[in-house]
Amino acid sequence: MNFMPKCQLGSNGPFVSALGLGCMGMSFAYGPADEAESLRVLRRYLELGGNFLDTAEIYGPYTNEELLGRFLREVSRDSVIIATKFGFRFSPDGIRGVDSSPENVRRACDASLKRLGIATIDLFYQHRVDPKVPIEDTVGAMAGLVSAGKVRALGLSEAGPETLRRAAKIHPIAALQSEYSLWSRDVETNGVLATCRELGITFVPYSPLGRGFLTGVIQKLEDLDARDWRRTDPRFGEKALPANLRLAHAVKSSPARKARPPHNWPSPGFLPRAMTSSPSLARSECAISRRTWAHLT
Amino acid sequence: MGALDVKLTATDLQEIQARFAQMEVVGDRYAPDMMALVNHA
Repeated sequence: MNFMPKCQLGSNGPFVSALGLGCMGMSFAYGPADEAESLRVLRRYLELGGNFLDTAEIYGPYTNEELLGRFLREVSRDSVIIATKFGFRFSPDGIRGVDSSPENVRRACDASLKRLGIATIDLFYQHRVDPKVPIEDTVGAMAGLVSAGKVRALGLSEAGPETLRRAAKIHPIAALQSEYSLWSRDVETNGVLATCRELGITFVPYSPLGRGFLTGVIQKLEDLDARDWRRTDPRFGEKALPANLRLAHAVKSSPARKARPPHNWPSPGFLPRAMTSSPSLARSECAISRRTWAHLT
Repeated sequence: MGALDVKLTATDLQEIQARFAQMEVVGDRYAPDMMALVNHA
């Protein structure tokens, strides 16, 4: 087992490796799934010292959690920290919109536990804020799951400062997961990072490599599988993609890129996540994470 | 995982900041229906 620095999520959450493994692309959004390859990646990630696996009910839907459930049967439970997310309604026809009602919170938790084959979810995120349900109601239901022993720590995703403040009054929020990379820096100026720092909430950036684009391996739309969701992403559009290529070129020639050969960068289908623990940046282990973040972006 | 070994100097970070400050990103993060679900107050 290799060493990887760890950061604590929030003030009382689990300790997770500085590089998490976002598993979405193994089953969802980024083209065809390859279970054998995904399992190899998961095993190798743990061998290298990682322990932080990220999934969600909507990835598939369901199939990404089922994949992780199969993987979890071959490793010890305490070797991994499992983060999953709820917040959508589904029908046989597909996704039916957001739903963070207390009833759906409880339903989703039980269903995720079953698919993952575990007794407790280490980090349970609200995937997107539901404008129809007060955050107090949602977090109240999430807190009930903590009391019931079904969830260990709570998180939100893509929530703003006011939502974070209201949520944290109901129950400690260990983590906020939002998009953050060199082409998505909103959280630096919209108060999100500052609020996380103030409230002691760990910020977990997703898509730190711009959904693979900033690696430079995607040069044209045809580089993506016909079923790849990114074909609908405005930044990968017919006119946007060529214009945005200069960003990928800038990353390629940046000091961060020079630090390692490009062929050693992670493939876009299985991007590790970088993490910066905002309230703890002064701590040595999180300073390493900060460097990691700088490199990944 | 070798990313963990990367060390950037203050000068490196300033260079990255300066380079990207000059560039405009074309396109929103998501299509409009999904954009409506991010960055809630």
